[in-house]
Amino acid sequence: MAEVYLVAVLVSMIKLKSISLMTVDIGLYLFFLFLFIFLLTVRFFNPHDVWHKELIK
Amino acid sequence: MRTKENNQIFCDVCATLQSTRKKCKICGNRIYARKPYSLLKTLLYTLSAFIMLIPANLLDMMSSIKLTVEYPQTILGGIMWFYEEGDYFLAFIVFFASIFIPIFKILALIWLLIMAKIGKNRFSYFSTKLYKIIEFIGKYSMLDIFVVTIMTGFMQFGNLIHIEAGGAVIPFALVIIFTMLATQNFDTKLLWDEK
Repeated sequence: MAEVYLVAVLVSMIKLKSISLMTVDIGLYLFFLFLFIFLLTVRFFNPHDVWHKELIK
Repeated sequence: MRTKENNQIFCDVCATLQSTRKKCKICGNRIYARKPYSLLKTLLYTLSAFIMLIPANLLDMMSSIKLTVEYPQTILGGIMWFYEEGDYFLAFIVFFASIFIPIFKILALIWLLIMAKIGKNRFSYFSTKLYKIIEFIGKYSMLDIFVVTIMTGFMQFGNLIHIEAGGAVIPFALVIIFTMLATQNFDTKLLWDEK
């Protein structure tokens, strides 16, 4: 769901741009970083491992 | 392996084969050959989503209030705004997430229900793929809800300008939640059972 939130942030930034002045700050870049690491975590996590520790290398 | 005929059930949580019993002996998860009341639950959630789709598209998604003058905006209105501003790509993304995906999901769920009722046929492979697709794209319709949340959070400057969430937010969120629940309750194994 986090990647959907990122798209939502970008869409609302463009919407808000028409109303007021917007500048991109470090928070957005950190959010990109968070998203990247989060996706990696989700990619490598296998819930079945919890029950089969003999298979974990 | 045909687990239904062998009296063996595959546990989804710990990925082991179990002899038929109510609970998995390894992880304690409730196990069943097919999800209970799968078709009925999917049908009811799909119908609820369809009913909620109507107020979601007719009511206002959000309204900006500038100097006590209200500018309400429906989902389609928001897309038209992007289109008129020249942001064709964004207009497409919002259209795809907020209008195309919910309608496509509901139609796909109806197709899946019919196919599951018929049982194994030449569309079973296609239907399973379709299920995978709607399961994946479902979360992208949350886009509009997130946009409204962010906008209302940002723009609160009293009478000068503030943005309020409209009546369509709750029906639209319900459409997404109901279609997600319908997808979750649908059992793809029913597509492959020979009737």
